[in-house]
Amino acid sequence: MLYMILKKCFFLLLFFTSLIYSQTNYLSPENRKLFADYLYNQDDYLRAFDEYRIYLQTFENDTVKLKIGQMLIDMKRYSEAEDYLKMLFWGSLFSEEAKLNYYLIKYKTLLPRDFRSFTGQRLYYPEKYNIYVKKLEQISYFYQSYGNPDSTIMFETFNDDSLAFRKVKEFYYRKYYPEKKSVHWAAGLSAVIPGLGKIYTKNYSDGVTAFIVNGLCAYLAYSNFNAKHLTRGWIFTGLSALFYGGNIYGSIASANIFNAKLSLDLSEEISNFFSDKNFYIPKF
Amino acid sequence: MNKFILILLCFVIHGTVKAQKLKEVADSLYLAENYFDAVTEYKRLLFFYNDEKNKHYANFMIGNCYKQGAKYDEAIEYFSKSLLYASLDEEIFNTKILLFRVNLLRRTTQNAEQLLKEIENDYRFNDSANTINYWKGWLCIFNDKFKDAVYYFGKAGSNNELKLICENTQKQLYSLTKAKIFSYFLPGLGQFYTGEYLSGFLSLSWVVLSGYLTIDAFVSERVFDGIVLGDLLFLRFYGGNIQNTEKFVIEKNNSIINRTLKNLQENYKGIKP
Amino acid sequence: MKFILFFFISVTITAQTDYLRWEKKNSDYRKKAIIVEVESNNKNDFFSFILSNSQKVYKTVISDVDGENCPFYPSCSTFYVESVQTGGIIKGTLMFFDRFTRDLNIFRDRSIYYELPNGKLFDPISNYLLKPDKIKLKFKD
Repeated sequence: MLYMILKKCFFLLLFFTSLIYSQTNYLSPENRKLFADYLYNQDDYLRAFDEYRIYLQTFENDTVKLKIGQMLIDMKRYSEAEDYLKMLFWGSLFSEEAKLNYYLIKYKTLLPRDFRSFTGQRLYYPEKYNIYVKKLEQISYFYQSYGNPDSTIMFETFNDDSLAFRKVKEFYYRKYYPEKKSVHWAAGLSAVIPGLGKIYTKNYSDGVTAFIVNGLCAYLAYSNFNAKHLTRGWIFTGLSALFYGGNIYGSIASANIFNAKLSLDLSEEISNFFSDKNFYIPKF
Repeated sequence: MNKFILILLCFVIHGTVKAQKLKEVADSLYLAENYFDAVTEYKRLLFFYNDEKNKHYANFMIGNCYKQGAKYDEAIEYFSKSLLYASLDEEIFNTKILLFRVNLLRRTTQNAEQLLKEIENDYRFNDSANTINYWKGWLCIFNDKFKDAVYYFGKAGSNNELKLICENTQKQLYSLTKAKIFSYFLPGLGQFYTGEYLSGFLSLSWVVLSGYLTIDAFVSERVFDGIVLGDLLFLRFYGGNIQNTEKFVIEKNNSIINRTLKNLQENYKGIKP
Repeated sequence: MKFILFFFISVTITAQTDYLRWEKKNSDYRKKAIIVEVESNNKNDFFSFILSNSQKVYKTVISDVDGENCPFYPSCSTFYVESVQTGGIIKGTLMFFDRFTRDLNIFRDRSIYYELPNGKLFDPISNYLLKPDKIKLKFKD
């Protein structure tokens, strides 16, 4: 009887020993993975990557490989991310997810037209996530300065999300039908009334200033000629002419700057919007 | 049964010893100036042994690692976390002082001042007046108030070296108020005071010339000419003279202050931010 | 010839991540100076020589003495020299008179310009050459 009790105690001891040992061996592969998950949740990707890498030396784990791929994409280490994702293309439960992230890498590294050529080849195509690849294709049009995509296809691709649909439609019309200012109108208006061309390009304060300066110079020229101060009269006439010419030139430049700013503001807005949404690619 | 409990207790203690070992590994990396890896090990300590004491210590050391790497935003984040878990007065004081020091290095001196005021108003740290005054002196240095720094280093008792350095710096600095008053009274004099003789001479010449032309225009009853000359020439050069004086004083003072700061950083052996 | 701007800032704020390994870095107590360098389009002909030296004399004798009146970067005199060198005398003069009109803006409306850290407004010559592809709206473009 005593022997049986002692035997049970011995096996209990063995059990607890191994339990506590594995718990306090913080460098064991299992613990490294737990620690890596903790770092991953803190967005400390570089450290999480180091720990996961050591863990993978002992165990095969497709979830970890997918996580590493996504982390490396966020760290802009695209070629390494590709290597990890390609390990999951065949025979893994996460094959489609890996392929989708692979397409995300291609989107970030290729020029828009080259990306669309790549998607056309259907190489490692994630059939399950076809809709996300289509979204990437449509988004890529916003990053090129040439060509005009089919608006029907573009709007249809995003009609599963009301905010996305609204924004994409807005971006489309602002990009392909921008409310540009005409340089000829700006020049013509400034020729008729100094400063009006700048007001047309929404440079109100500069327009009013140009009007006042031109008016003042013209008045000074006139009043000096009237007072028979010929030298001064000619000086102010010359200044008037130069300010007038400068005003027309400036209005043309102002129209160009207005159009450039329109384009830049839109590019920034598009970039920020899609980056915030991770280009509509879900994180797994 | 007693033996069984005894053996279990041994393993609990063994667990505590393991935490100590992990701490030692992290500390040795810190001492070897391998700060990036030290942060990893301190985070490991936090993850596996997250009792209050370890939480304070690990966050505190992570803050120190980031401070050594000149990553001040992260350092402040972790020092703030360690402050939440500090239980002893000494721990609270040391953490707050380090937060203050990092704010100094980051040049967010308003935050640093606020922290130091909090420490000063805390009755638990009444015995640390000398330390507080010492850091007040450093705060004044970073705020370019060397006269006040002399006062605080004097109050701190020790550190004649720092007091002497601050006194010397204060003597070399140009007074902005004085320079501007000189310039208001006699255009160009402020620039002479700062050693910019050419600029001072040109300022004086332009102000005298434009002043003469303006007065001459008014005297000759050419009012419009007088107004134009007065506005476009006289006031412009007179105002420019004041602006330049200010600019030269600030430039020269910044140069003197930077020399002092570099000297303190490289040669001063005492406790620094 | 390079145009160099020195100015001091008292706060340095940078976004930091641990995406890269980092090493110990000694802190620098000194006030940080930001240097803005812009390569100017200087030609080496006689006309450019006269122009740039005249500008130097103007700067020493007049511009540096009458204080900081120009809110723009580059300054109006530099703008004139560069615009004449780039676009010729007529175009350059028109560009200058437009710039001068904008400098006289009575409303002090500066919202259309990109503001540099030293408070100057970024207004490069490239924006006024009437070449839309050369327009730079931000300093880092």
